[in-house]
Amino acid sequence: MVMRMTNGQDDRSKGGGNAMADGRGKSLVLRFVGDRFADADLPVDMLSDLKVLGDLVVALAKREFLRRHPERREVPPGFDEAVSLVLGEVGKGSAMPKLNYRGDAARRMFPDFADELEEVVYSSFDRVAFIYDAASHDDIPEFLSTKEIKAMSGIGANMRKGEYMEFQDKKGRDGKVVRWSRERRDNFVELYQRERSRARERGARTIKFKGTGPLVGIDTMRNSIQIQTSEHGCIWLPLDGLSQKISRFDGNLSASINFSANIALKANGKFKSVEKVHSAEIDRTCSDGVLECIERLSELSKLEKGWLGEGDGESISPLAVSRAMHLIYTRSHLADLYLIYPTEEGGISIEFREMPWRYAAEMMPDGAIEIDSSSRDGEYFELRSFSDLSNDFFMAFDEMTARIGNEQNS
Amino acid sequence: MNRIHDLDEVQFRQVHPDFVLKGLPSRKAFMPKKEHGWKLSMCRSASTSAKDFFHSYTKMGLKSFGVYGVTPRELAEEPNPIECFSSPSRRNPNHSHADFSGLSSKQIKLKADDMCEKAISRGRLHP
Repeated sequence: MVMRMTNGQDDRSKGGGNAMADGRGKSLVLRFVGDRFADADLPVDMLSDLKVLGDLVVALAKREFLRRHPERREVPPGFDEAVSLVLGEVGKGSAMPKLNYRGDAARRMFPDFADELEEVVYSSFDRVAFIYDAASHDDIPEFLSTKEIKAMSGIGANMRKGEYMEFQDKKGRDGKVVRWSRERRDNFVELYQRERSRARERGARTIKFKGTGPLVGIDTMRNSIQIQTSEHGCIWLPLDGLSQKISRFDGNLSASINFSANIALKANGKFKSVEKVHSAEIDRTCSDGVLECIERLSELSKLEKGWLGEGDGESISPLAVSRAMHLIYTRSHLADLYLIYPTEEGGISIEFREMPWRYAAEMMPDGAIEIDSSSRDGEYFELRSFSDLSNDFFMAFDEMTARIGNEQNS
Repeated sequence: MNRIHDLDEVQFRQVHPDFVLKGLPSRKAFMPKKEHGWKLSMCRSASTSAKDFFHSYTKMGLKSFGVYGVTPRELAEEPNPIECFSSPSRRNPNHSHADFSGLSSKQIKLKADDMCEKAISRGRLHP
């Protein structure tokens, strides 16, 4: 049985309707390709896929909202209804259903932050495309729960061989439109099951870990220092039994620390605890570029509220500074290019150029990060958002800046 | 509030010193704010000079590294074309603005980036 929806206008079937094409995009536009999807035909068994996608957007919107509001433990009642999507028209030219965010419920139920909910939903559109792009390149998105991964892998189960679905106007890491098919879905499910099986066999375990990261905290009562690492986030290292005294680290916040420790990992590979610290030393070998960046961050940290004049300009968030430091240390090969600025909202903007390209990594006051780049020739690397400096972030950052290395080496 | 018809009339923009490093302004100096309706405040060169604009601004106790400028023609270029309007106020009879309100948040960042580059290419106009 085929369900024929209201036909879309021809010009909309050319991929319009998303953020870049329509200005303030309000729809997640998909395109199903295959004989069954001719014109605006959408088989009824595909509707369950659209529901899964809609539910995933809601789950991501919840996550994003809570990230923006760390003071909350849960979303307010009615949140799901407020951010839910509706199936609008199905465009022609191979079925192109549009999942629309109307915002009426949000404006009615949460008038004080309806605008914020709109931003949250739109960022979730990008996030969902990012997830499928990662999955189609055999990356299991780390931040998703087991339940969410099972849900996302439901999409595509009803597709036939040769059929596929595209996220219109959403480009993946290979520069092409993000695509999902039955084959990709089956590969991903197999990969995920294999990883789970391996994790179960491994179980929780302890490894010897050597790392480097900026010093972001000192606790003299517990004789411990806190380091921000790219692999395991912020971790505390107790210095008991080491020759290094905690007083050695005093006054060296933001310094790069090299350390070695036994750390316990959970069965899923995620960090559990530090079991024993073997060594922790201040790295004195930073390049001039890195030192200059750290000095600049230190200056900006001292900006007081109202620095922009007429009461504008928030003081710079320590979390934003910490994120910036971490990026500078872990991607220190670009330190000579980094230009570091404050943002009015209290974040840090790291901008750099390798003409004709311009790059930016913005650390928000709440610790989220956005990266994007554009060239004078009109090309751009689509803006991506991350809640922290995860592996996903570094993969995207390295992808964005890959050409800098090539140009420097050529 | 009228659209500025002379597409080559430079529109001035003050840049705060904290938004400048190694002589290069941040794109943040060219980002409009939501609370201002996504309109970026500027000043018309048709009725004042960069020097006078700089002095009247700093005389109010506000800090500025200097005055930069772009033209409506540059802002109307693809991608993400926007327009400039004359919007005189009691405080600034030469006030104008660039209207970003039709753009998405991503497009706003790209446009601000582009605007910054064009301003840099023109060079600091005063001091």
